[in-house]
Amino acid sequence: MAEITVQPVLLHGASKASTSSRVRSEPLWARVLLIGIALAFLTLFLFVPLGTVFYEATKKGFSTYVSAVTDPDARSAMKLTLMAAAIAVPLNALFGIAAAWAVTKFEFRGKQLLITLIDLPFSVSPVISGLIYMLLFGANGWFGPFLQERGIKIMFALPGIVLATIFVTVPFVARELIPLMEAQGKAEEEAAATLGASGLETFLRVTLPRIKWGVLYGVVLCNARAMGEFGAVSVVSGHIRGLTNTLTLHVEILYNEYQFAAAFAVASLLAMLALVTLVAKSLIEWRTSGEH
Amino acid sequence: MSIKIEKVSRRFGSFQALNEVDLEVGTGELIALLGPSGSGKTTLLRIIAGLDVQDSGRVFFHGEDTSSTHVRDRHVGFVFQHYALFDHMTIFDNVAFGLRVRKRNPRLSSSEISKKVKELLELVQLGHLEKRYPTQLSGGQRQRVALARALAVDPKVLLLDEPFGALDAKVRRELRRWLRHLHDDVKVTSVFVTHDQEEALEIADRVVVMRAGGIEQVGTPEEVYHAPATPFVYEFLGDVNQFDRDQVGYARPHEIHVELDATSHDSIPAKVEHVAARGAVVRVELSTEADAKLIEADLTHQRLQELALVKGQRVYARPTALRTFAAAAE
Repeated sequence: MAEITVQPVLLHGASKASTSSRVRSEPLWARVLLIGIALAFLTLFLFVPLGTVFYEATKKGFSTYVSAVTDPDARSAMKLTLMAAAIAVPLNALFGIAAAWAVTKFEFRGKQLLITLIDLPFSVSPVISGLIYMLLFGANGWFGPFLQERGIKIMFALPGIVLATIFVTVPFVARELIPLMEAQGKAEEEAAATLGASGLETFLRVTLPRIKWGVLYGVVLCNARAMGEFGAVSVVSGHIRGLTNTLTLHVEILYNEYQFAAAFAVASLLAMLALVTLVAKSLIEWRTSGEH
Repeated sequence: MSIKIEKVSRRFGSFQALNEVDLEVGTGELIALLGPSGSGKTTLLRIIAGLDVQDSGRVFFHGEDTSSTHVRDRHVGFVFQHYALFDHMTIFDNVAFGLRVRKRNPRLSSSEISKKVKELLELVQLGHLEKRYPTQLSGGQRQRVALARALAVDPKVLLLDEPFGALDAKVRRELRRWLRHLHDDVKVTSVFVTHDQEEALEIADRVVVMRAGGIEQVGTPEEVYHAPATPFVYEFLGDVNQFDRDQVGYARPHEIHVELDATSHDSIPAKVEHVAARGAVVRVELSTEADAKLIEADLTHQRLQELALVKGQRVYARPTALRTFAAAAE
């Protein structure tokens, strides 16, 4: 790198020392500019907000922070968020594996349609998807009277929150696995079949070990989205404090009540969950790149 | 175990991969399916294995219709071009896979499995590598593991899809010879797909030449090489010179006699374009004086010295054997 720094006017390209490195990469000013833009962008939109969350959360002292986080409503919101994720993520992992398996190992009519449908939640606004569930299962919805007669509560309760969360996180695992399994092809599965393995044996002994890191990666992303979901859950939850408030909704309520320190304290919990997710994701990436 | 293929057809969309193919393979034979890409040879192999399903026609194993038998119950050993080894398992576990998942035979005890796997690894000369993983092996070694894995389940039929296609030329020749010896030892009915005519001619008992979803000729290597049934077979199985007379005639480079003076009315005046002493024989490229068509001739080194050919020299080329086909054939 040293030879580049003595080169203020690279455009004239007189130096012999830096010729080889200049052939291979962009000129210095372009690199500095590009990296600078990226860093400035990241700082402005990521690091500053993240810092603000923790700063605002602890501004009024540590005890305020602790009491906001351990408040019964906050704890129940935490519990609800974790529970919704704990139900939605495994279900979507199962669905994602099944869908990717079907799409990549078999030929059938409507395959393209299935792939498009898997992507649908990405293109529909979460609020709209919440509204759809409302129209289906709400008191005045299609199935509302039927459910009411039998005392089944879906909207403004855990089932509705889980349904909304599942809907918005459907694509994550499948989207992660389809390209991976497509690249792997099906020769190994065919080899297993000629050797006499059943479909289940083939899946457990051949397919699953080859896609396990992909599944985990998809699950981590899916989990991040499940815990951070706001729009869809906001519509179906009913905002009942201590009962149907998830962490994100709890933050909103606190904020609207001008309890800024408390709002940021709870938000910092979400931020920490996100950071844990990031670390997990990096670990998986590091692990998989080491494998091949 | 004999194989009989009866009027098997297969379409992929608008592409006719196989068109009413009939073929019989005798017990213990080593058969080569030879043809250019798109000729249907791999499709035929996959249909025999049960990895693909024919649209019509039937496949018999030892007189028994297998059309509705699932691939895992057909007892075929299949070797893939790109090995298809289980990368997350050791070599030992790869070979043991078929023995561990087989249900119908009384399952082998783990000591029996271990004994059998070790025998097979010795057979493919890889006994010392059983604890390695596939990615730590060379291509030739991987393909031998794949073969051991396929043989582990005592297949009735061994099917190989371009088994040496991904290997370099030297390893390919070694493995080819080695496969022939293995087949002589194991005697399992085998069908392998290749687009390499040398490979097919060298190791197969019989060669099936395929083209555009059909079979052009079935015969021993001598038959298909020396008595090709169609111009396509003639051209596909080696270098060839074409002569337009009343009919189209064909002669191989070693069937061209190069002389300094015309000795018969068959002698064609030509100019020496290139002389390549490339091993046991000398390949001489000539261009005819009449229409500058390329003629390739193989000479011995001795003959080259006698003629003392130089580039641009005028010579005569005389086909010593000329094979003609009905004009409508092509």
